[in-house]
Amino acid sequence: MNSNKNTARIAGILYLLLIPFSIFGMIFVPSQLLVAGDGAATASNIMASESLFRQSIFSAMTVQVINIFLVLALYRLLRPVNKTMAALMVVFSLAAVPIAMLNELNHLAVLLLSTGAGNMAGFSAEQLQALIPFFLDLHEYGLSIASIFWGLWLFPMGYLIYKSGYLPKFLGVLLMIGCVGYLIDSLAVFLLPGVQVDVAILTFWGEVLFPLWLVIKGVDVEQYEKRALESATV
Amino acid sequence: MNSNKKTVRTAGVLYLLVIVFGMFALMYVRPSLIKPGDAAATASNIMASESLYRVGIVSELIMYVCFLLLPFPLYQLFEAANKNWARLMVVFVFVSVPMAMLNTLNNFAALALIENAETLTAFSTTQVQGLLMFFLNLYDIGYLVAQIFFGAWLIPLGYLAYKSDLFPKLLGILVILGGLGQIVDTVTSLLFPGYESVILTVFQTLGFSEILFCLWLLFGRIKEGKQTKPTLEPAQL
Repeated sequence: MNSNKNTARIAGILYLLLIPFSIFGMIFVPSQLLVAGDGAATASNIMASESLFRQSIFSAMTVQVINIFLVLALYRLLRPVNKTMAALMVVFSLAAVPIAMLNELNHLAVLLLSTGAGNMAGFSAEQLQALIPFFLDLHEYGLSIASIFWGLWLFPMGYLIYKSGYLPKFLGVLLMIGCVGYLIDSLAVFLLPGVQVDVAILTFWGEVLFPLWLVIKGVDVEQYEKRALESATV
Repeated sequence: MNSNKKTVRTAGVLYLLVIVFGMFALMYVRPSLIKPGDAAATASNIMASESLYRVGIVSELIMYVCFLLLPFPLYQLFEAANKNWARLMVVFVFVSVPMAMLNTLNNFAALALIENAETLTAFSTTQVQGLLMFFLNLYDIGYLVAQIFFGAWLIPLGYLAYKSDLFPKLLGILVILGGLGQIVDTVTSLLFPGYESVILTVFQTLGFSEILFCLWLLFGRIKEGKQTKPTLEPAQL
Protein backbone atom coordinates (compact mmCIF):
# COMPACT_ATOMS: atom_id res chain seq x y z
CA MET A 1 0.00 0.00 0.00
CA ASN A 2 2.68 2.40 1.07
CA SER A 3 4.95 1.26 -1.73
CA ASN A 4 2.40 2.20 -4.38
CA LYS A 5 2.19 5.70 -2.99
CA ASN A 6 5.97 5.73 -3.13
CA THR A 7 6.14 4.60 -6.74
CA ALA A 8 3.80 7.42 -7.67
CA ARG A 9 5.85 9.93 -5.72
CA ILE A 10 9.15 8.74 -7.19
CA ALA A 11 7.74 8.88 -10.72
CA GLY A 12 6.40 12.36 -10.06
CA ILE A 13 9.69 13.63 -8.70
CA LEU A 14 11.68 12.13 -11.57
CA TYR A 15 9.28 13.68 -14.05
CA LEU A 16 9.55 17.10 -12.40
CA LEU A 17 13.34 16.76 -12.36
CA LEU A 18 13.28 16.69 -16.13
CA ILE A 19 11.94 20.23 -16.25
CA PRO A 20 14.92 22.19 -14.85
CA PHE A 21 17.43 20.01 -16.70
CA SER A 22 15.58 20.34 -20.01
CA ILE A 23 15.10 24.07 -19.65
CA PHE A 24 18.72 24.64 -18.74
CA GLY A 25 20.25 22.24 -21.25
CA MET A 26 17.90 22.54 -24.17
CA ILE A 27 16.36 26.01 -23.95
CA PHE A 28 18.18 28.48 -21.71
CA VAL A 29 21.85 27.92 -22.53
CA PRO A 30 21.30 27.36 -26.26
CA SER A 31 19.29 30.58 -26.42
CA GLN A 32 22.14 32.43 -24.70
CA LEU A 33 25.06 31.05 -26.68
CA LEU A 34 23.92 29.78 -30.03
CA VAL A 35 23.24 32.31 -32.76
CA ALA A 36 21.35 30.79 -35.67
CA GLY A 37 23.21 31.15 -38.94
CA ASP A 38 26.14 32.96 -37.34
CA GLY A 39 29.10 30.69 -36.73
CA ALA A 40 31.48 33.44 -35.70
CA ALA A 41 29.18 34.86 -33.02
CA THR A 42 28.37 31.36 -31.75
CA ALA A 43 32.04 30.46 -31.59
CA SER A 44 32.96 33.56 -29.63
CA ASN A 45 30.04 33.03 -27.22
CA ILE A 46 31.13 29.47 -26.62
CA MET A 47 34.76 30.53 -26.17
CA ALA A 48 33.62 33.04 -23.57
CA SER A 49 31.35 30.59 -21.74
CA GLU A 50 32.78 27.21 -22.52
CA SER A 51 31.90 25.62 -19.21
CA LEU A 52 28.30 26.85 -19.47
CA PHE A 53 28.01 25.17 -22.86
CA ARG A 54 29.54 21.97 -21.51
CA GLN A 55 27.07 22.00 -18.61
CA SER A 56 24.18 22.37 -21.01
CA ILE A 57 25.30 19.30 -22.96
CA PHE A 58 25.71 17.39 -19.73
CA SER A 59 22.29 18.58 -18.65
CA ALA A 60 20.69 17.36 -21.88
CA MET A 61 22.29 13.95 -21.34
CA THR A 62 21.10 13.86 -17.74
CA VAL A 63 17.55 14.30 -19.01
CA GLN A 64 17.94 11.10 -21.00
CA VAL A 65 19.26 9.12 -18.05
CA ILE A 66 16.42 10.34 -15.84
CA ASN A 67 13.99 9.33 -18.58
CA ILE A 68 15.05 5.70 -18.23
CA PHE A 69 14.31 5.62 -14.51
CA LEU A 70 11.13 7.61 -15.00
CA VAL A 71 9.58 5.28 -17.53
CA LEU A 72 10.41 2.25 -15.41
CA ALA A 73 8.64 3.84 -12.44
CA LEU A 74 5.67 4.74 -14.64
CA TYR A 75 5.58 1.18 -15.93
CA ARG A 76 5.13 -0.10 -12.38
CA LEU A 77 2.45 2.47 -11.80
CA LEU A 78 0.43 1.85 -14.96
CA ARG A 79 1.05 -1.82 -15.75
CA PRO A 80 -2.08 -3.00 -13.90
CA VAL A 81 -4.22 -1.17 -16.46
CA ASN A 82 -2.86 -2.84 -19.59
CA LYS A 83 0.48 -4.57 -19.80
CA THR A 84 0.91 -4.25 -23.55
CA MET A 85 0.19 -0.53 -23.60
CA ALA A 86 2.55 -0.06 -20.65
CA ALA A 87 5.27 -1.94 -22.54
CA LEU A 88 4.63 0.24 -25.58
CA MET A 89 5.16 3.32 -23.43
CA VAL A 90 8.47 1.92 -22.21
CA VAL A 91 9.67 1.03 -25.70
CA PHE A 92 8.81 4.44 -27.13
CA SER A 93 10.53 6.22 -24.29
CA LEU A 94 13.65 4.07 -24.41
CA ALA A 95 13.98 4.41 -28.19
CA ALA A 96 14.46 8.15 -27.78
CA VAL A 97 17.33 7.77 -25.32
CA PRO A 98 20.13 6.54 -27.63
CA ILE A 99 18.97 8.94 -30.36
CA ALA A 100 18.99 12.01 -28.14
CA MET A 101 22.22 11.09 -26.39
CA LEU A 102 24.21 10.45 -29.53
CA ASN A 103 22.70 13.57 -31.05
CA GLU A 104 24.56 15.63 -28.45
CA LEU A 105 27.64 14.82 -30.53
CA ASN A 106 26.49 17.60 -32.83
CA HIS A 107 26.78 20.10 -30.00
CA LEU A 108 30.15 18.63 -29.09
CA ALA A 109 31.20 19.11 -32.70
CA VAL A 110 30.25 22.78 -32.34
CA LEU A 111 32.36 22.92 -29.20
CA LEU A 112 35.38 21.42 -30.97
CA LEU A 113 34.97 23.79 -33.91
CA SER A 114 34.55 26.82 -31.66
CA THR A 115 37.50 26.21 -29.40
CA GLY A 116 39.81 24.85 -32.05
CA ALA A 117 40.22 21.72 -29.98
CA GLY A 118 39.47 19.71 -33.11
CA ASN A 119 42.99 20.43 -34.37
CA MET A 120 41.80 20.94 -37.92
CA ALA A 121 44.81 22.94 -38.99
CA GLY A 122 44.21 22.45 -42.72
CA PHE A 123 41.05 24.56 -42.60
CA SER A 124 40.80 28.32 -42.42
CA ALA A 125 39.10 29.93 -39.41
CA GLU A 126 36.21 30.96 -41.67
CA GLN A 127 35.72 27.43 -42.86
CA LEU A 128 35.62 26.05 -39.34
CA GLN A 129 33.15 28.72 -38.27
CA ALA A 130 31.05 28.10 -41.35
CA LEU A 131 30.57 24.52 -40.23
CA ILE A 132 29.07 25.62 -36.91
CA PRO A 133 25.60 26.59 -38.18
CA PHE A 134 25.58 23.33 -40.12
CA PHE A 135 26.11 21.26 -36.98
CA LEU A 136 23.57 23.38 -35.08
CA ASP A 137 21.02 22.54 -37.77
CA LEU A 138 21.92 18.87 -37.54
CA HIS A 139 21.40 19.02 -33.79
CA GLU A 140 17.98 20.53 -34.40
CA TYR A 141 17.04 17.76 -36.83
CA GLY A 142 18.32 15.15 -34.39
CA LEU A 143 16.17 16.59 -31.60
CA SER A 144 13.18 16.44 -33.90
CA ILE A 145 13.84 12.76 -34.56
CA ALA A 146 13.99 12.05 -30.81
CA SER A 147 10.93 14.24 -30.44
CA ILE A 148 8.88 11.70 -32.37
CA PHE A 149 9.25 9.40 -29.39
CA TRP A 150 8.92 12.17 -26.80
CA GLY A 151 5.51 12.58 -28.36
CA LEU A 152 4.65 8.94 -28.99
CA TRP A 153 5.28 7.67 -25.47
CA LEU A 154 2.70 10.12 -24.13
CA PHE A 155 -0.05 8.37 -26.04
CA PRO A 156 0.02 5.01 -24.25
CA MET A 157 0.73 6.89 -21.01
CA GLY A 158 -2.31 9.11 -21.46
CA TYR A 159 -4.45 6.18 -22.51
CA LEU A 160 -3.43 4.16 -19.44
CA ILE A 161 -4.12 7.07 -17.11
CA TYR A 162 -7.49 7.63 -18.75
CA LYS A 163 -8.43 3.98 -18.30
CA SER A 164 -6.85 3.52 -14.89
CA GLY A 165 -9.60 4.60 -12.55
CA TYR A 166 -6.90 5.59 -10.04
CA LEU A 167 -5.72 8.74 -11.80
CA PRO A 168 -7.89 11.56 -13.15
CA LYS A 169 -9.09 11.14 -16.73
CA PHE A 170 -8.35 14.73 -17.74
CA LEU A 171 -4.63 14.16 -17.17
CA GLY A 172 -4.74 11.27 -19.61
CA VAL A 173 -6.47 13.44 -22.19
CA LEU A 174 -3.93 16.23 -21.75
CA LEU A 175 -1.05 13.81 -22.25
CA MET A 176 -2.56 12.38 -25.42
CA ILE A 177 -2.94 15.93 -26.70
CA GLY A 178 0.72 16.49 -25.79
CA CYS A 179 1.63 13.53 -28.01
CA VAL A 180 0.02 15.19 -31.02
CA GLY A 181 1.78 18.47 -30.25
CA TYR A 182 5.25 16.94 -30.38
CA LEU A 183 4.46 15.02 -33.55
CA ILE A 184 3.21 18.13 -35.34
CA ASP A 185 6.35 20.04 -34.35
CA SER A 186 8.62 17.28 -35.60
CA LEU A 187 6.79 16.94 -38.88
CA ALA A 188 6.98 20.69 -39.37
CA VAL A 189 10.76 20.66 -38.91
CA PHE A 190 11.06 17.79 -41.39
CA LEU A 191 8.67 19.04 -44.03
CA LEU A 192 8.31 22.81 -43.71
CA PRO A 193 11.75 24.42 -43.60
CA GLY A 194 11.77 28.02 -42.54
CA VAL A 195 8.30 27.83 -41.03
CA GLN A 196 8.33 28.30 -37.27
CA VAL A 197 5.82 25.83 -35.83
CA ASP A 198 5.66 25.43 -32.06
CA VAL A 199 2.57 23.58 -30.99
CA ALA A 200 4.22 21.75 -28.10
CA ILE A 201 4.49 24.99 -26.16
CA LEU A 202 0.68 24.92 -26.00
CA THR A 203 0.20 21.21 -25.48
CA PHE A 204 2.84 20.30 -22.90
CA TRP A 205 0.69 21.06 -19.84
CA GLY A 206 -0.11 17.42 -19.18
CA GLU A 207 3.57 16.84 -18.58
CA VAL A 208 3.59 19.40 -15.77
CA LEU A 209 0.23 18.64 -14.20
CA PHE A 210 0.62 14.85 -14.22
CA PRO A 211 3.89 14.81 -12.25
CA LEU A 212 2.53 17.44 -9.86
CA TRP A 213 -0.53 15.28 -9.33
CA LEU A 214 1.67 12.26 -8.64
CA VAL A 215 3.70 14.14 -6.06
CA ILE A 216 0.85 15.94 -4.33
CA LYS A 217 -2.10 13.59 -4.61
CA GLY A 218 -0.54 10.30 -5.72
CA VAL A 219 -2.76 7.47 -6.90
CA ASP A 220 -6.09 6.38 -5.51
CA VAL A 221 -4.58 3.48 -3.60
CA GLU A 222 -7.81 1.55 -3.17
CA GLN A 223 -8.53 1.60 -6.89
CA TYR A 224 -4.92 0.81 -7.69
CA GLU A 225 -4.89 -2.28 -5.45
CA LYS A 226 -8.10 -3.45 -7.07
CA ARG A 227 -6.67 -3.07 -10.58
CA ALA A 228 -3.41 -4.73 -9.56
CA LEU A 229 -5.27 -7.72 -8.10
CA GLU A 230 -7.44 -8.05 -11.20
CA SER A 231 -4.50 -7.95 -13.56
CA ALA A 232 -2.60 -10.50 -11.50
CA THR A 233 -5.42 -13.04 -11.67
CA VAL A 234 -6.14 -12.67 -15.38
CA MET B 1 -7.92 -19.06 -32.25
CA ASN B 2 -9.88 -16.02 -33.31
CA SER B 3 -7.72 -13.63 -31.31
CA ASN B 4 -4.67 -15.31 -32.77
CA LYS B 5 -5.87 -14.57 -36.25
CA LYS B 6 -6.33 -10.94 -35.29
CA THR B 7 -2.76 -10.83 -33.97
CA VAL B 8 -1.46 -12.31 -37.22
CA ARG B 9 -3.35 -9.76 -39.31
CA THR B 10 -2.16 -6.87 -37.11
CA ALA B 11 1.41 -8.02 -37.65
CA GLY B 12 0.69 -8.27 -41.37
CA VAL B 13 -0.59 -4.71 -41.57
CA LEU B 14 2.42 -3.38 -39.65
CA TYR B 15 4.79 -5.36 -41.82
CA LEU B 16 3.07 -4.05 -44.93
CA LEU B 17 3.49 -0.47 -43.67
CA VAL B 18 7.19 -1.15 -43.08
CA ILE B 19 7.57 -2.45 -46.60
CA VAL B 20 5.53 0.29 -48.30
CA PHE B 21 7.11 3.24 -46.47
CA GLY B 22 10.53 1.63 -46.78
CA MET B 23 10.22 0.97 -50.49
CA PHE B 24 8.99 4.49 -51.17
CA ALA B 25 11.93 6.03 -49.31
CA LEU B 26 14.71 3.65 -50.28
CA MET B 27 13.71 2.30 -53.67
CA TYR B 28 11.86 5.25 -55.13
CA VAL B 29 12.97 8.59 -53.66
CA ARG B 30 16.64 7.83 -53.12
CA PRO B 31 17.49 6.36 -56.52
CA SER B 32 15.50 9.04 -58.31
CA LEU B 33 17.42 11.89 -56.64
CA ILE B 34 20.81 10.54 -55.69
CA LYS B 35 23.24 9.82 -58.47
CA PRO B 36 26.23 7.90 -57.11
CA GLY B 37 29.50 9.52 -58.09
CA ASP B 38 27.85 12.70 -59.36
CA ALA B 39 27.79 15.22 -56.54
CA ALA B 40 26.70 18.17 -58.67
CA ALA B 41 23.73 16.35 -60.19
CA THR B 42 22.71 14.97 -56.81
CA ALA B 43 22.87 18.39 -55.17
CA SER B 44 20.81 20.01 -57.89
CA ASN B 45 18.29 17.13 -57.83
CA ILE B 46 17.81 17.54 -54.10
CA MET B 47 17.43 21.30 -54.44
CA ALA B 48 14.97 20.94 -57.31
CA SER B 49 12.88 18.29 -55.55
CA GLU B 50 13.43 19.25 -51.95
CA SER B 51 9.91 18.34 -50.83
CA LEU B 52 10.16 14.89 -52.36
CA TYR B 53 13.51 14.42 -50.64
CA ARG B 54 12.00 15.50 -47.31
CA VAL B 55 8.94 13.30 -47.72
CA GLY B 56 11.32 10.43 -48.43
CA ILE B 57 13.11 10.93 -45.10
CA VAL B 58 9.82 11.19 -43.21
CA SER B 59 8.62 8.05 -44.94
CA GLU B 60 11.75 6.27 -43.77
CA LEU B 61 11.21 7.48 -40.20
CA ILE B 62 7.61 6.23 -40.27
CA MET B 63 8.90 2.90 -41.51
CA TYR B 64 11.12 2.61 -38.44
CA VAL B 65 8.31 3.52 -36.05
CA CYS B 66 6.15 0.81 -37.63
CA PHE B 67 9.10 -1.57 -37.42
CA LEU B 68 9.38 -0.81 -33.70
CA LEU B 69 5.74 -1.81 -33.26
CA LEU B 70 5.98 -4.97 -35.34
CA PRO B 71 7.51 -7.18 -32.62
CA PHE B 72 4.55 -6.55 -30.31
CA PRO B 73 2.04 -8.73 -32.17
CA LEU B 74 4.78 -11.13 -33.30
CA TYR B 75 5.96 -11.67 -29.72
CA GLN B 76 2.40 -12.35 -28.66
CA LEU B 77 2.12 -14.85 -31.48
CA PHE B 78 5.35 -16.71 -30.84
CA GLU B 79 5.74 -16.38 -27.09
CA ALA B 80 4.23 -19.81 -26.61
CA ALA B 81 6.46 -21.45 -29.22
CA ASN B 82 9.70 -20.36 -27.56
CA LYS B 83 9.95 -17.45 -25.22
CA ASN B 84 13.73 -17.00 -25.47
CA TRP B 85 13.79 -16.89 -29.25
CA ALA B 86 10.83 -14.54 -29.23
CA ARG B 87 12.72 -12.22 -26.88
CA LEU B 88 15.79 -12.36 -29.08
CA MET B 89 13.67 -11.28 -32.04
CA VAL B 90 12.28 -8.35 -30.06
CA VAL B 91 15.69 -7.22 -28.82
CA PHE B 92 17.23 -7.24 -32.32
CA VAL B 93 14.46 -4.99 -33.59
CA PHE B 94 14.64 -2.62 -30.63
CA VAL B 95 18.40 -2.21 -31.01
CA SER B 96 18.19 -1.46 -34.71
CA VAL B 97 15.59 1.29 -34.62
CA PRO B 98 17.36 4.14 -32.76
CA MET B 99 20.48 3.46 -34.80
CA ALA B 100 18.64 3.55 -38.09
CA MET B 101 16.64 6.63 -37.11
CA LEU B 102 19.66 8.61 -36.04
CA ASN B 103 21.35 7.55 -39.25
CA THR B 104 18.77 9.55 -41.20
CA LEU B 105 20.59 12.60 -39.79
CA ASN B 106 23.08 12.00 -42.59
CA ASN B 107 20.26 12.63 -45.05
CA PHE B 108 19.28 15.76 -43.15
CA ALA B 109 22.94 16.79 -43.37
CA ALA B 110 22.49 17.19 -47.12
CA LEU B 111 19.60 19.56 -46.44
CA ALA B 112 21.54 21.40 -43.76
CA LEU B 113 24.37 21.98 -46.24
CA ILE B 114 21.93 23.43 -48.75
CA GLU B 115 20.18 25.55 -46.11
CA ASN B 116 23.49 26.97 -44.93
CA ALA B 117 24.81 27.71 -48.40
CA GLU B 118 25.22 31.37 -47.47
CA THR B 119 27.50 30.78 -44.51
CA LEU B 120 29.33 27.97 -46.29
CA THR B 121 30.79 30.35 -48.87
CA ALA B 122 34.11 29.81 -47.11
CA PHE B 123 34.10 26.54 -49.04
CA SER B 124 33.99 26.22 -52.80
CA THR B 125 30.78 24.93 -54.37
CA THR B 126 32.57 21.75 -55.34
CA GLN B 127 33.66 21.25 -51.76
CA VAL B 128 30.13 21.73 -50.42
CA GLN B 129 28.80 19.31 -53.02
CA GLY B 130 31.56 16.90 -52.04
CA LEU B 131 30.50 17.13 -48.40
CA LEU B 132 26.91 16.54 -49.42
CA MET B 133 27.89 13.35 -51.22
CA PHE B 134 30.09 12.34 -48.30
CA PHE B 135 27.13 12.49 -45.90
CA LEU B 136 24.90 10.58 -48.31
CA ASN B 137 27.57 7.89 -48.48
CA LEU B 138 27.81 7.88 -44.70
CA TYR B 139 24.08 7.28 -44.65
CA ASP B 140 24.51 4.20 -46.84
CA ILE B 141 27.17 2.84 -44.52
CA GLY B 142 25.06 3.64 -41.47
CA TYR B 143 22.19 1.75 -43.04
CA LEU B 144 24.48 -1.23 -43.56
CA VAL B 145 25.37 -1.14 -39.87
CA ALA B 146 21.72 -1.18 -38.85
CA GLN B 147 21.12 -3.86 -41.46
CA ILE B 148 23.04 -6.32 -39.29
CA PHE B 149 20.01 -6.23 -37.02
CA PHE B 150 17.48 -5.93 -39.86
CA GLY B 151 18.90 -9.30 -40.89
CA ALA B 152 19.48 -10.71 -37.43
CA TRP B 153 15.88 -10.38 -36.24
CA LEU B 154 14.69 -12.49 -39.18
CA ILE B 155 16.62 -15.51 -37.92
CA PRO B 156 14.64 -15.92 -34.68
CA LEU B 157 11.51 -14.88 -36.62
CA GLY B 158 12.04 -17.58 -39.23
CA TYR B 159 12.94 -20.13 -36.57
CA LEU B 160 9.77 -19.32 -34.63
CA ALA B 161 7.65 -19.43 -37.77
CA TYR B 162 9.17 -22.84 -38.47
CA LYS B 163 8.70 -24.17 -34.93
CA SER B 164 5.32 -22.71 -34.13
CA ASP B 165 3.47 -24.75 -36.75
CA LEU B 166 1.45 -21.64 -37.53
CA PHE B 167 3.07 -21.23 -40.95
CA PRO B 168 4.40 -23.51 -43.66
CA LYS B 169 7.87 -24.71 -42.68
CA LEU B 170 9.34 -23.57 -45.99
CA LEU B 171 8.31 -19.99 -45.22
CA GLY B 172 10.27 -20.10 -41.98
CA ILE B 173 13.35 -21.34 -43.81
CA LEU B 174 13.05 -18.63 -46.46
CA VAL B 175 12.80 -15.95 -43.78
CA ILE B 176 15.97 -17.26 -42.13
CA LEU B 177 17.77 -17.23 -45.48
CA GLY B 178 16.57 -13.68 -46.10
CA GLY B 179 18.02 -12.66 -42.73
CA LEU B 180 21.34 -14.36 -43.43
CA GLY B 181 21.39 -12.60 -46.80
CA GLN B 182 21.21 -9.18 -45.20
CA ILE B 183 23.97 -10.01 -42.74
CA VAL B 184 26.18 -11.39 -45.51
CA ASP B 185 25.47 -8.23 -47.50
CA THR B 186 26.74 -6.03 -44.66
CA VAL B 187 29.77 -8.19 -44.00
CA THR B 188 30.69 -8.27 -47.69
CA SER B 189 30.32 -4.53 -48.08
CA LEU B 190 32.54 -3.92 -45.08
CA LEU B 191 35.20 -6.55 -45.68
CA PHE B 192 35.19 -7.24 -49.42
CA PRO B 193 33.86 -4.06 -51.02
CA GLY B 194 34.70 -5.29 -54.53
CA TYR B 195 32.34 -8.25 -54.36
CA GLU B 196 29.28 -6.63 -52.89
CA SER B 197 27.41 -6.32 -56.18
CA VAL B 198 27.72 -10.05 -56.93
CA ILE B 199 26.68 -11.09 -53.45
CA LEU B 200 23.98 -8.45 -53.37
CA THR B 201 22.12 -9.78 -56.39
CA VAL B 202 22.19 -13.29 -54.93
CA PHE B 203 20.82 -12.22 -51.60
CA GLN B 204 18.55 -9.44 -52.74
CA THR B 205 16.55 -12.13 -54.45
CA LEU B 206 16.19 -13.65 -50.99
CA GLY B 207 14.71 -10.36 -49.84
CA PHE B 208 11.44 -11.45 -51.39
CA SER B 209 11.01 -13.84 -48.45
CA GLU B 210 10.10 -10.88 -46.24
CA ILE B 211 7.43 -9.78 -48.69
CA LEU B 212 6.18 -13.34 -48.90
CA PHE B 213 6.00 -13.58 -45.11
CA CYS B 214 4.15 -10.26 -44.94
CA LEU B 215 1.63 -11.44 -47.53
CA TRP B 216 1.18 -14.66 -45.62
CA LEU B 217 0.51 -12.73 -42.42
CA LEU B 218 -2.10 -10.68 -44.28
CA PHE B 219 -3.86 -13.30 -46.34
CA GLY B 220 -2.43 -16.73 -45.58
CA ARG B 221 -4.17 -19.60 -43.89
CA ILE B 222 -3.05 -19.69 -40.29
CA LYS B 223 -2.69 -23.21 -39.03
CA GLU B 224 -3.62 -24.27 -35.53
CA GLY B 225 -0.16 -24.37 -34.04
CA LYS B 226 1.50 -24.55 -30.68
CA GLN B 227 0.36 -21.02 -30.17
CA THR B 228 -2.69 -22.06 -28.15
CA LYS B 229 -1.96 -20.61 -24.78
CA PRO B 230 -1.10 -23.09 -22.05
CA THR B 231 -3.94 -22.67 -19.60
CA LEU B 232 -1.78 -22.40 -16.53
CA GLU B 233 0.65 -19.79 -17.76
CA PRO B 234 1.29 -17.14 -15.15
CA ALA B 235 0.26 -13.67 -16.21
CA GLN B 236 3.46 -11.89 -15.39
CA LEU B 237 6.38 -11.50 -17.72
